[in-house]
Amino acid sequence: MECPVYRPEKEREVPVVMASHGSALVARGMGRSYGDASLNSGGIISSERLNRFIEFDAEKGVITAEGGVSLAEILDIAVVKGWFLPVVPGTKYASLGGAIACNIHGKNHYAKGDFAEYVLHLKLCLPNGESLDCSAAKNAEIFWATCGGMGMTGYIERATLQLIPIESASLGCWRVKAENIEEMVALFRENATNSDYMIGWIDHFARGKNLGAGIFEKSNHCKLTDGLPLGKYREKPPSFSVPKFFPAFTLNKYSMALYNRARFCGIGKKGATMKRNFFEFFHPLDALKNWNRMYGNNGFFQYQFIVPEGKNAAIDMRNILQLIQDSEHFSFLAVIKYHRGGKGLMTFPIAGFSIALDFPAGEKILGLLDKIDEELCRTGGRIYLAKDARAKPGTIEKMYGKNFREWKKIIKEIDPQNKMDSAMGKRLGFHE
Amino acid sequence: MNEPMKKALVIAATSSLGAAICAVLARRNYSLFLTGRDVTELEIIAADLRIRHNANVLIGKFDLAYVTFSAGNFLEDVEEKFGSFDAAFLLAGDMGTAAHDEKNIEQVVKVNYLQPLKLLELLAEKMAAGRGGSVAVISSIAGDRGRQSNYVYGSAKAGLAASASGLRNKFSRRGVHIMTVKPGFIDTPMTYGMQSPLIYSREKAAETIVKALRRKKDVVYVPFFWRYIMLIIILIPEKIFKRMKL
Repeated sequence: MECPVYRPEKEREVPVVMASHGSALVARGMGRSYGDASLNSGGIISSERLNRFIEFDAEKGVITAEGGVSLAEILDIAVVKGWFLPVVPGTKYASLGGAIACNIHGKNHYAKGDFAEYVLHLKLCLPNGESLDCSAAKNAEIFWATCGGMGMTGYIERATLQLIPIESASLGCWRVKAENIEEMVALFRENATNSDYMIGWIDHFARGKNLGAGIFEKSNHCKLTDGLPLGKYREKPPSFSVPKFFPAFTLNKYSMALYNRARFCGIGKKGATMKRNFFEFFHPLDALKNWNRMYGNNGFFQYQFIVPEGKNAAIDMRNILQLIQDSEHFSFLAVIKYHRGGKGLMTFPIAGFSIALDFPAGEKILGLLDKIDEELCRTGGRIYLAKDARAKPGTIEKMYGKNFREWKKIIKEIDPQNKMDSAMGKRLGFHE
Repeated sequence: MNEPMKKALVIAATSSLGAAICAVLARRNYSLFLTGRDVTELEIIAADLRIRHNANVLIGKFDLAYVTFSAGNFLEDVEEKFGSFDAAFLLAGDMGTAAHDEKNIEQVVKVNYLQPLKLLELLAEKMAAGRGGSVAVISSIAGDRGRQSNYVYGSAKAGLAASASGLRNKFSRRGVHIMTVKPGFIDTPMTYGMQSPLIYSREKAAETIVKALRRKKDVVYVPFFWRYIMLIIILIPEKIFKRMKL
């Protein structure tokens, strides 16, 4: 998609662009969203050059920065001072503004909640070019419409974030095999109170009663005495870059089945323990530069859904995994996480389990995803907008329900002239 | 990185390339004095340098349009707060508008040539009277040959390059080194949106400029290959050149 791009370099240029631009705009940060959230034929306002730190209180772990600062940059200055991001997504190449607009979550959502819960304060440039200070206490309605609001409330100029203290740059991990989805769910529930992070990988090739089998991993930050010192945390730069014309056929049903089997080896009934540093742990894909090229030129669809917590959670997931297995499609990666309820009108996580899947792109996959959407609507589940590029407007309305309607009402109030919009906004009818 | 503590003055630090140069200097452990017209922006840049690089940074509002030779000028103000400095970077520049009216022509010549020349003169004199130092002057490849598309800007930058050459000559034996920088297409607002494979990262450009000044280069093209591109352009006979669309 061709999008005219504005790239302001001074803070004062933002309101000028916002107020004077003719067609609708949307903010774009690092451009790592899987879907069309930061694409817009009308125009884009890029935060690439508005990436400066404003204040860092190393005593309290409170940091203020412009929206274009990346999470990697925050970690770069915070870790050596003993602070860490409370919520870490799968890639550290996401911008602060984008993390707020998508209200991202990490492997600790069940315990720590989503990104917005650590945003103490926001400076938002409204669609009419006015700057507004907002937080959970001040202009709260706009604040909660902005966190998870996919950029529809304006441009995030600055944000103040509360970090969490850490003692070392290592995590102690424990991995164990789960024989099926029921066991996986039980492992998450059992370990929720004594783990800093939990995640599971589902082997997409396990069938029948073993459906949903995989590896469960729980981890805790290491204490000062048994971890890597903070000063030494800096990762090695990516050693291997995926070539531009990576042959897509190397990732196929058989190689992936083999890969998934290989992961299982070495993990016995009692599980395996290991110590890993931050970056292996949080961003395994970032270690491979341009990893997205592995999917070939066609790219892929990332699809993340969540099913509500309760006695039916495992059954709901089982049904969806069965749907996928019955189709001719398979996902390269299937990651399962545990969640508590989220704040913010359009925030994705409800209390429950989410599964993130990667499908090679193609026309035929869309039918399957629509079918899963229907299943989710039936059971009270939903999909993650930050990763969506294909959902239908009615579906989102059903999934997000009265929150979606309330959010649209707020958008209408602060943006009566539709000055903010994106390809996603048009597709899903944010302004209708 | 264990270089002795050095001090640098960056004039028009709020410009795109200026901010990038500040980051390179801060990483190399320089103490900095930043000037510009936009104080809010100066404060943001200074805060960022302090947080990322633990840098020692002072700022001062300064509009190049008001350089004077009289006592109490801006440089004395800098020296009072900052002490004497080892290096200075002069970045002021303005492409002006497409209009070839009196106001635009005067503005472009003033910002790109007249005021920088006055300031250079004062700077070099001050450094020569003290313990010497180096100055990087940002000219442009546009100054190498006047073209119909931007000769107002180009001629002002050419004037600046000629004066830098003269000052280099004049001060070479008095411990002051003047370096002329001729950037090509650097990724700044000036070139943003231009579809050219020659666009060069401003971070790399800043690195090149700082390195070149430390090595006391005289004239440096950024990146280097512009030296050869401009050489070819200069060699085109005027009879042919005047008919070309450049």
